[in-house]
Amino acid sequence: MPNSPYINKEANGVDGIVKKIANKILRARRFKSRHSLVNACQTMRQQILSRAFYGWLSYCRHLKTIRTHLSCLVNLKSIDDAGEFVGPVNDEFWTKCRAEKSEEAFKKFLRRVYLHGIEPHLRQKIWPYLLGLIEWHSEIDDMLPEMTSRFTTDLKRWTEIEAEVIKKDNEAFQAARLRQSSNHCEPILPPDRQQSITSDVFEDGAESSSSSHHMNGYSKEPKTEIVEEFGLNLHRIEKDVDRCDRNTDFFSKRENLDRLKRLMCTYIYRHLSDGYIQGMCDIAAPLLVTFQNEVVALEMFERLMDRMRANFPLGEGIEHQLNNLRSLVQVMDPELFELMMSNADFTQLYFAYRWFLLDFKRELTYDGVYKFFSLLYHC
Amino acid sequence: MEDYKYLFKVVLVGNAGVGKTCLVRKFTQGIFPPGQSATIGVDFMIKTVKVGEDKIKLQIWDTAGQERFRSITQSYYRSAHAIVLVYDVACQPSFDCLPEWLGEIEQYANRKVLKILVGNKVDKEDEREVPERIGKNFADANGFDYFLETSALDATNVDTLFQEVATRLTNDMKLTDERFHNFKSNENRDGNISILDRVLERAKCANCRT
Repeated sequence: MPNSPYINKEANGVDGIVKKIANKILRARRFKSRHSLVNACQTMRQQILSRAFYGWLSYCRHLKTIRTHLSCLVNLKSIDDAGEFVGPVNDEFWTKCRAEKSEEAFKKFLRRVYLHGIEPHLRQKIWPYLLGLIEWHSEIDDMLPEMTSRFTTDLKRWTEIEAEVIKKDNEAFQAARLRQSSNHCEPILPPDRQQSITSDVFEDGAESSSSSHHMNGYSKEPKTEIVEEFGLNLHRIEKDVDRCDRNTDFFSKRENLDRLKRLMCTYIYRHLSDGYIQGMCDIAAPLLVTFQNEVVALEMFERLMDRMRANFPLGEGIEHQLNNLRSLVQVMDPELFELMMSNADFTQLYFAYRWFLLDFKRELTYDGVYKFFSLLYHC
Repeated sequence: MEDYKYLFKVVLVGNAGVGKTCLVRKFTQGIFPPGQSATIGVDFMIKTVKVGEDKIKLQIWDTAGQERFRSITQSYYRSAHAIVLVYDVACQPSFDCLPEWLGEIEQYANRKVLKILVGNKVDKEDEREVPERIGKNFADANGFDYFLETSALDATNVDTLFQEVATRLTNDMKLTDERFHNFKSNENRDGNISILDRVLERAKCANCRT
């Protein structure tokens, strides 16, 4: 068979075309796979970048939360621990500090209290300085006579009012008994709302009068409003004193409960417009145990209330504290935070109300309370 | 996680010192704590009871009685299934304040909330100032669903009180369930439980340490 150039050519041509096409396809495939590889890399790069970006973003948000809500809580001033453990403030150190009475000694003293605490038996000597009841350069003995006389005067005044309150209570009780026995068969109608409203109005009105007012206006006969208002507070105080820390040795004794009552009534007499609020006894109790003396314990309580007053339903303090706690939980445990915010009972964090109102006094044992209070008083 | 059919929220209110905390502790822990300190803000405890074959979890919120803390206690009314209003039968003023408390309940609680009136401290029979009949009349006249006199000290009617609360709420809930087949409160319930379990777990740890 002659080798037809045409056929050959054609055959060559076909072969060539096939080859070419095959080559093209191969190249295209190679290109495609390379291309898809490039694409995949691109996507991965994008994903990594976006993850990094979102990580950074949430970190920034986190920091913003801290800055907005918590920065005020952080004390940037670092207290340097000299490295060696010197232990809590002891007799030797305290005697040295009191001998010097210098600013330098005060700073050293504060640092040691902060870092290591106070030996238990020194608390009653040291706390008055920590709370600013006594200036660093003075001694408690210089102030004691004045404190005592103020206490005695106030005690005498409110005891007279108390006598008046007891008299009135007795009269009311007898009247009620009489009414009950004479109207034996008739049901005593529940008091209508009008009555309670008037008593509310009275209370509000009384609250607006300042305590200094009534002190100045005080004459021999205690005024009716003061008797009424003091009486209200007296009953509240008696109710709470009787159930304050009764499981402790100290408050299992009646005479100590009476001392707590005297302390609290004197305080309330001085601050009648604030009135007694539940929780105050809890704060005063450890002070009375520490000082074993109503006069100093009361003065200390006054100082302490100056800083804790805002936490009671007299100021906005507790809202501020709860907001801080909310932000802390948000930062420290976002999962718990989400859960809390999704449940109406927990959004306001009122379960923590007691912690802040009483500086964790109910959450700790007395020993813990003393340690913790020493630290707080330092701040 | 504990298995139960319903979780109910019960809120105790009433004047300071009428024995709200003691009632709750007697029921949940079986103890009468002498010298129980005043409640600050709110506190809660949990106990599971049985109603027929069903396990019912009662989440009991115990509130502070002093009026200064009302702003806090008010926020717990709204989601309450039952409100137990407590007075002291040996303390007339605590009874005289009931209309004020009723006003609060009307203002803040769900309209359908189960209302229960409790006269506590019946162990003080000698010092009684509010006769049982007066309490009963007040409950009837003011739309309470149930009235009972109790003593946390000698346990009179304490279990009965909470059992009754659980039974009535369960029956109400079953009726509602039947009416709305699709009614599911699981979502809300789960939220409640996981957070409570977590808190309780932590509280247990804290107790171990003390």
